[in-house]
Amino acid sequence: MTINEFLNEMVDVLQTEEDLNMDTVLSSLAEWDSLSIMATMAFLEKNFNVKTTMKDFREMKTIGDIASKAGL
Amino acid sequence: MKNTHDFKPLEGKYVNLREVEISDAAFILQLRTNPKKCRFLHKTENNLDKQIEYLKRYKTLDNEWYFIIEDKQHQPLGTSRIYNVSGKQYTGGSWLMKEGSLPEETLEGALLARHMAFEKLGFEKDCFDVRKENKKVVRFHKMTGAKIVAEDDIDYFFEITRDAYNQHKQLFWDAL
Repeated sequence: MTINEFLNEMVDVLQTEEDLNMDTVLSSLAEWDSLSIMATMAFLEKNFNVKTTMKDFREMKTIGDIASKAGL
Repeated sequence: MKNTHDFKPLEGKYVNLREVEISDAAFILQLRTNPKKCRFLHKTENNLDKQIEYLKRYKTLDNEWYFIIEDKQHQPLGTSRIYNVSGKQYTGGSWLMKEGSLPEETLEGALLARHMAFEKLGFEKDCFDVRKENKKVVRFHKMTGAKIVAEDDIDYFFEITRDAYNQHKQLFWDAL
């Protein structure tokens, strides 16, 4: 998956109308809530075989941090 | 089916799941009349006396369950219900968490409610509906193993079996 593909997928995962980039701060997104975190967990596991924990998400601040976790 | 009014709270890492009490009426009313929270719920009249009467009536039943999700300091955070019981089948609903609830509290509350239904109370299938507009909750239920079995103009109708719950639960339990 390319970075652009990842960003497009994250728009859908987060159900957001914002244009996302790697520097987008997660807490700035109105849609960033518990359900978005769970959706992102499932997305990472299904597409990158990466298992995450709530502790991981406490440390992630940007979309780029999620991409790094995915190995991109 | 056991008399639920005597059950011990389920204790998780971040939250507990306990039986509702009459004293929870004000909290429940505040939650269910929050415009942001109740957008996809059946409307609740903003009347404390009626909410108290509802809970008093609930306490006389043995085929419904009303849970409070509370934090480890026993402060209420949310609700979950089991109703429309028919044999081993039920409807799960009224899953609401108050503003400011942590993601781990939200997730664990949902998992404990399912655990209660499938593992403690012995149910085998949850049949429930979700407003199509409630896209995040629709997604969440799909992720946790529920299948859409029907739809109309405004709702998706879901089913999740105990087997499907068991197949999908570990990703989320391991995340806590």
